[in-house]
Amino acid sequence: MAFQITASLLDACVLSMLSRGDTYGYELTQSLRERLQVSESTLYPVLRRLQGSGFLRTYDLPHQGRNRRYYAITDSGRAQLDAFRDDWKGFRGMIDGFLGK
Amino acid sequence: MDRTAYLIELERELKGLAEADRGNALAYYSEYLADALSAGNADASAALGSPRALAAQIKADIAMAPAPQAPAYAQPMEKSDFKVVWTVILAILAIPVGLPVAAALLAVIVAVLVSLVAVLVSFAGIAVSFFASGAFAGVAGLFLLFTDFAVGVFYVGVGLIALGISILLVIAFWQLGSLCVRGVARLFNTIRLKLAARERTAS
Repeated sequence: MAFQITASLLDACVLSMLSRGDTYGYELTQSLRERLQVSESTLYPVLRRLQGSGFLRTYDLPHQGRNRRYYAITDSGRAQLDAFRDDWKGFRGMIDGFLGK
Repeated sequence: MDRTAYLIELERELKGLAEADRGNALAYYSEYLADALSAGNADASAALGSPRALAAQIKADIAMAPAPQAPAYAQPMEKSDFKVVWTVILAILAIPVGLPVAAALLAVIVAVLVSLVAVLVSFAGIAVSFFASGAFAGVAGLFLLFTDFAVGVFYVGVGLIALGISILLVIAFWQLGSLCVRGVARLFNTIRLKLAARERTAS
């Protein structure tokens, strides 16, 4: 593809996936890779950044004798997702102004 | 590479990072590889790249945003809510042709805002009256304890129930209030985007 996924777009996509339910790193990576061309190590910095900004929180659940870390979106994460959606609308409209529909 | 060997190698490559950063990264990738294995993906460590390359990526990312507390984004809404509202009102007033439209829109917006505030104020009023009557009944009950114990206990109980209801109402008021502020801000944000888009097509 000629266009690159920026960090902000990744953040937005991950927040959107988390808004549909909590999940863990491996599954999140797989569902991201089903639709986006990103490497397996893309997600860790994204999760770190989002957690640092307070947009997601984590909790551990036991799974097969070990702990599995789940990620959940916070209220400010949802607000940021709304802001991303609005920004995306504006951005898409801007590019559509050049490329047409 | 075998999962354990990969993680040992990764840990060695991550030397020099703060303990917490290294621990977090190792825990994440340890879990990642374990989950990949249970999903039947035995080559996951190959897909992650060499431990050295992965470590370099992790280190570069941490070097760019060292403290995990440092927010990468300004917190959305909240502070700018009123700014958005004002921008929209000013933008509507700035359209010369649309003055009647602007008046109508403004009236609608003001009506919505006023009714929201009215609902919130009535909620607060009910909460306050419950609180006052609860406190009064409770205190009266305390004095009645000495004249007629049963009646006193009854009044104290009624007072406590009313106080409890008032606390619940305050919580409901708070939730409703923040919901309203967020909703109104979103509405205004949408209007602002629409106006901006129109301005772009006009120019």
